Amino acid sequence: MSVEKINWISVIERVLRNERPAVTELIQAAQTPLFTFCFHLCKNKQLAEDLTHDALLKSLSSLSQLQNQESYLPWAKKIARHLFLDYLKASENSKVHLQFDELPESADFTQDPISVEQIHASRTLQLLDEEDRTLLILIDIQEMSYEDAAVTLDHPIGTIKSKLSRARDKFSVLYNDNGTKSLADSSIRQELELKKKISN
Amino acid sequence: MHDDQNQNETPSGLKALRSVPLQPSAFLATRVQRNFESSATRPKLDQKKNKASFLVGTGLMALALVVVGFWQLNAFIPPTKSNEPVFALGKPYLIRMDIREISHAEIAYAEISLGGDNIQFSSEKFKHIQRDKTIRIAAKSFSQKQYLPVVVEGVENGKAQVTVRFYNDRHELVTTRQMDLNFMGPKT
Repeated sequence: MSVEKINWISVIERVLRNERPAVTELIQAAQTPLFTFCFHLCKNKQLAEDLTHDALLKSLSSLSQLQNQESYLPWAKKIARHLFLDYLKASENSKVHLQFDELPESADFTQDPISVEQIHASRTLQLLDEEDRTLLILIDIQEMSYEDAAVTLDHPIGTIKSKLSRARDKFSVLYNDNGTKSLADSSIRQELELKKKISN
Repeated sequence: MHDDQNQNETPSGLKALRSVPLQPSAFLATRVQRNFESSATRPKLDQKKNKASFLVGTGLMALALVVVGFWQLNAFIPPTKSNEPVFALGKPYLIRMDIREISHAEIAYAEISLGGDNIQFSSEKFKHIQRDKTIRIAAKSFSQKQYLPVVVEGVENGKAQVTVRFYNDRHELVTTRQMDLNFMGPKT
């Protein structure tokens, strides 16, 4: 189901009237953008699924508190982000650390092959701090508007713009760092070639 | 999409990530819907937050309590003929359920039940919990812990049980921990 085509206000009103098909419709429409957001945030498929699940459940349970129903998706992403921050905090407290630098397996994305550029970009994204990463995911990858990003991040639009500019600069420096990039690319290429050989 | 003159452009690497088609598993939607519907028909875990806080926050009470553990009960408490530990009446006991061998990834929530009319949950802060015989707590309250703390108190002489059942998100029983207690002595 296309996210653009869905009428969030109508669906949410029907969910609030306890119409079961509307719940299905909402979940179907929201799960992919939410999962994509969560996956880029944590780069771990299982964790991304759990975050998406919890964010959807939490948003459905507190749907009546949502003031602007058109902002459902940015609001649900805000919930997912807070769940991720809680998870990070809990992991830190228990000395369990996430492994961000694992190579994204093709199974983690789709069956389609992924390019060296995509892997390198994905790795670079993980080098940024959480807020910069979230901004770039929302605006540059998911093409969210500044207004919606402001809802997710709970910042004024002006702040979003200035933080975005700085986050892009940081990303570009890391991404275009020739030495690192060529090193990273060569190691990624080697790994991709190895995988190709194994699958053949 | 963003037409600000002063805004730097989207880096090319990030544009490349737009075309990575990510999809959650086919079961996610069903899982969410099922859990949403079941949460609408049973008491919500969130509503039990105060109870969970009571269980998790028992550290403050710990000084005033006798601490016992499943794995060393006999070392602390004189056994009866049947080897059940004996507890005094009217005194809160902190029982630490050993959950180190439980796979936390599987567990969605735990249900703590008290067997016997002579035992009750104990909390200074949440007096109402004494009326409950069963409480349910979300896994996130104890997922990072090695022990699940339960505070109980005996009100009459006799045997009682504390049972903790761990369930997955399909409400299927994963594992159970049970402890038999024997309350004996005058009321304090």
